Amino acid sequence: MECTLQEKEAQRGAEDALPGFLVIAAGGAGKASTLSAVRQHQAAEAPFVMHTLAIDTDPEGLGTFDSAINIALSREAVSAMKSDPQRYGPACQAVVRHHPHLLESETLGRGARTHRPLTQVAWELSEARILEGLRAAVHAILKRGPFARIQPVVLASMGGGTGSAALILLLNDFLNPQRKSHLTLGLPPDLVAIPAAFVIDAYSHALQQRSGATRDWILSNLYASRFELALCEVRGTRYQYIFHLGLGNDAGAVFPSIEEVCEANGLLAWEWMANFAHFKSRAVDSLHFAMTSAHFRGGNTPESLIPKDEWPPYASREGLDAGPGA
Amino acid sequence: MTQTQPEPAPSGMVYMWGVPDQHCCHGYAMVSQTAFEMSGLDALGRDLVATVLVRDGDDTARIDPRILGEFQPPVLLERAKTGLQALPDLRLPADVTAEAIHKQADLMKALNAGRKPELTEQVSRAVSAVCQDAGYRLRRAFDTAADGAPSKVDEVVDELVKALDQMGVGDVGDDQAVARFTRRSEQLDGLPRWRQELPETTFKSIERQLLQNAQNEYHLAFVWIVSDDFRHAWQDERDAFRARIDHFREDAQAFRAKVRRCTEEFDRACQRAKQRAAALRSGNKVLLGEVSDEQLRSALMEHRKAGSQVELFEGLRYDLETGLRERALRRGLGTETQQSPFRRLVLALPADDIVEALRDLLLSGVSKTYSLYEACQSYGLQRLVFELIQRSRVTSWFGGRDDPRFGITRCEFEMVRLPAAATPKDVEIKEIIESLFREAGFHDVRTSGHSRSICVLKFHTGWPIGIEGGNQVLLEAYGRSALTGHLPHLIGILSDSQAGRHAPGILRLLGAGEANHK
Repeated sequence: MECTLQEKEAQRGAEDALPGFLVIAAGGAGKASTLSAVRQHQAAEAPFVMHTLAIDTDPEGLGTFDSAINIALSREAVSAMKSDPQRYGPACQAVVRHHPHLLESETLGRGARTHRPLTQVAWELSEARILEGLRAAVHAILKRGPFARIQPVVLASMGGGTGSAALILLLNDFLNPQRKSHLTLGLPPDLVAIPAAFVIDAYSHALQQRSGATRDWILSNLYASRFELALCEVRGTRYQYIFHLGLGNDAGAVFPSIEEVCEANGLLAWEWMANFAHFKSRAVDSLHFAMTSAHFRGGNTPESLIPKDEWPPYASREGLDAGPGA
Repeated sequence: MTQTQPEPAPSGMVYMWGVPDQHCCHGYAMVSQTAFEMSGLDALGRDLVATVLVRDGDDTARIDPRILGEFQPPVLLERAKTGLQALPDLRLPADVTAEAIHKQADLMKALNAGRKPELTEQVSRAVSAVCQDAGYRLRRAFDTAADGAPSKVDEVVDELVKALDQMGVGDVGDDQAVARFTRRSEQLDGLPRWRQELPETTFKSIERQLLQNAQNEYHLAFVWIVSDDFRHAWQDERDAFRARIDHFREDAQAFRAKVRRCTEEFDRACQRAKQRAAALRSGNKVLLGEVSDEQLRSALMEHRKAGSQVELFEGLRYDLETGLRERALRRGLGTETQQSPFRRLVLALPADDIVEALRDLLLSGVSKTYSLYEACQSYGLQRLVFELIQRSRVTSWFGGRDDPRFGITRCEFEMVRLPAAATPKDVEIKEIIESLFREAGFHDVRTSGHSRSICVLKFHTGWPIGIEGGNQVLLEAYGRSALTGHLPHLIGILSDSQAGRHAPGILRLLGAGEANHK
């Protein structure tokens, strides 16, 4: 059916307007960052539509958000999983087989404690609930006004156990172009935009640790999640923009605590959302072109310095295309 | 031995595989903003919280001593009598006859001798119900008073204990009443034989008088029959109430301890807020100055147009309550907390939440009268703009590899957001600040109606994560964590990571990096 001119104009108006923002708080630092964004939003008398959804393996404070998905591991679920791991996903099978110490009943339900595979187990066990929670959040935004687009914005830290894992699992399982049709079931397929993320490079968190080993665990999680994100990007699953916030700059600004970084991260995310139209109009002119066409051409890559027979499969596009296990 | 000068290390490699294929969707973001240090927060906050916790409502909510009047034995006994006469077996007809008196006298004798167990049970229940009802109302009145004035519970308790101790059940009834009633009944039985002897009017007058006397004795006999039950029921209620009162003394003590703890926690939370504010000096905020207790109070009084401290506190208390109830809702504390008195809400919430709510409340009030722009001027406008720009520098390190000659097209976005000017003087200062930012190359300078601080945002985007300078030190931590059994990876993403363990292909980079430096 042909659209009238007015309808076309109205449609264009809706597309040009701010999208509805689905802010996903992943893990403890994600929750703290999102609360900072919520404070800004309330102080500004909510100038745009923002729905907050928290996903965490630690149930504390989940009631603070518009909606929440508690993926804390329960003793019952773990007991059932241990009884017949073959009925569960690959992460569950691997952890039951190789790392049963992570599933001790006394430590369950209290966050992932820097163990990213533990979040993956919780994720596999809660997959249906996560999809339902995300879908319900999309519906909740749509109920608050006509939106041509819903922009997911993920807030997380990249050094902990839950946020750094959820950042990648969300992308792979629900928010990538191939899978997000499950999320928009019965709705326009391109309703949900490619997600953006505001992540904390967890240096402050690492430096607050007394134990050197824990510090290394956090920093190695940061490196591992960077690497995994990069691999996802090469495989075609990526965030639209992913903004990092580090420890400090060379002009004397050093974040003294994880709370301060979270506050700044939430403020950045909120200002970005508030100025989204402005940012986007400038980004499509320059950044999007650079993102799609630019590639690093330096000569000091490992591939150029290490003999080819020592390369891991993910060092070359051929190896990557073959996928995991190649 | 000849010492050779070590060769300068060549530039390090990029510490990640597959960097040429990685997308340039990464960016570093940073924000700097102005802030005030609220040194007056703790003194004003402590006063306000103390008002809510201790004094709130104590002057008005006192137990009404008249409630004890209803617990007096004569009053209760009268009520018990009315209740008992409602029992069908014990009710005297409205038009009392000698036969009715006779019948009730037989019943009374049987009751007194314990030959009517069912009726005795009914009597006992009715008497207890009257006492229990009075006891219940007394306890409720006390609960309300104690809840309204927890810090005055001891005082209220002392008053009540004294009054109760002075009150006794006393003599309940007359032990000869049943015998007298029986005699009246017998006199009435013998009256008909005088009918022929006496004039009709005299006979009727004597009969009326005897019936009246019998009725009076009936009530007294009644009281004697229920006296034991009444005494026990009244004493039970009094003992229960005394026990309740003792329990309340403990509650009051616990409440006072809770208030003390809450106040101490509030002080500690204020200290933490102060430490955080002090730490801001090294963070991303430019502190414009301190707002002292005195400045805070006078700015708030001006903003709220309050004539006195009492008026100011009333307004603040109302807004704080609204803010804390919203916070409690966000914390998922449920409707029960929402409907509970404000004092209980304050006791239930973490002290940090109260301090934060108070800080937001005070800051929003202060920022309307304590001019941000005038504070900026006192700080020095050029110095302020320079520091904000410096502090907004991004937290990224690339060793020069984010350069077009390496194929990277870096995109930078800067935004400056200024709060609206409130006075003509503010407008002037704001214009100078805008021009200073523009001179420094920040062209996106806009007024934001919601902002309470000057905010500089910087986004530095368009590079692959593999070239970020921090990767080297992160890789070293990755290598060390392999020795302590950590599991850094998600399962199934990297083909050479066994069940989340370290990937040998990545660990290979460590050796390569060292070799490259040698």
